[in-house]
Amino acid sequence: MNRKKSVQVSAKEKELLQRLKNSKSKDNAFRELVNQSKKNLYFQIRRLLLNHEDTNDVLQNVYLKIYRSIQKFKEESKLSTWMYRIAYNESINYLKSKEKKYFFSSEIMYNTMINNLRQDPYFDGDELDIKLQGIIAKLPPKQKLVFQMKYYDDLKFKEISQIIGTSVGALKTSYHLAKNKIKKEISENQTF
Amino acid sequence: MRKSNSFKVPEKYFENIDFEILEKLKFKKNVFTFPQNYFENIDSEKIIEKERSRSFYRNLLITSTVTMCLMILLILNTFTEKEFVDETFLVNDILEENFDYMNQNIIINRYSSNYIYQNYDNQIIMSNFDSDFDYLTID
Repeated sequence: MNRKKSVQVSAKEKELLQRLKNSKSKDNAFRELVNQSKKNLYFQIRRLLLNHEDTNDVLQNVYLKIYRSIQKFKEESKLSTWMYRIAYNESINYLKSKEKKYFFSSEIMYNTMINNLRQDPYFDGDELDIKLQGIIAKLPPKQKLVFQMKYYDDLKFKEISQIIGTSVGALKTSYHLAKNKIKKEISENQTF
Repeated sequence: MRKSNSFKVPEKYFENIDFEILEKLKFKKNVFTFPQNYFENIDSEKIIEKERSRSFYRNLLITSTVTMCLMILLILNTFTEKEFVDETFLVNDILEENFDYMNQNIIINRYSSNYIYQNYDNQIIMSNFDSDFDYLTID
């Protein structure tokens, strides 16, 4: 039997969703949603793309997709999780299209992105931060994502599992591997 | 037995030391900055407008594609009209008879770039300024 997965959603979120799905109240509700979520989504995308301009482009696309497809949202996860997933997919697609456009391999592309951080006026880190971003960028996609969601966003494994569509057990393994790789590389290359 | 080290360390110190390195970095996790007033300037109205104009252009594209198809069909239909075929054949026949173009394999139709085709109330004028004759009039 096909049973709809139930998620615990706050009354406020339910009400917002109802307004988003109603054509009369959609625009106002969307305005509210953008105000609530723009910072979280921005930083989630930025951590994957590193550069502000690219992030801004992708963020606009993410909101366009959300606006366009809110009617199709099945409410099998929290709204934020669904938005997070859209942002993740859009960021990954953006990186893939960049690879194709400039005929880069993933490694060259990430190296270029990391090197660009040194001249980026919107990057406020030192060499150690650039180093950390470099290590994170080169992690396998799943490990990178799990690490970022856990380390920076403090998301629960269950939430990450809904976003990426992988079991909690597998995510824990990925996180553990990612953490160990980062620790190892930082310890090898850095003295505090 | 002699102790290898007389210094004591907090419990689980060595197990946690790597994690502390990360924790230390965590304090600097907001390394990504953004232009001043960036978030204030993210305007949902612009996004909604963008979506509406996208829908508008999508509809426009669909409409123009359909119109183009209809026009092509209309042109094809006109092209095969009986009246036009008759006129062209008529012109060909007259040209061949009067100007001895039998061996030159002339193909004339109203869309030929070699001829300017005009039809004034059943009087057909086909002009070719590069040829020996200037125009041909058929009543």
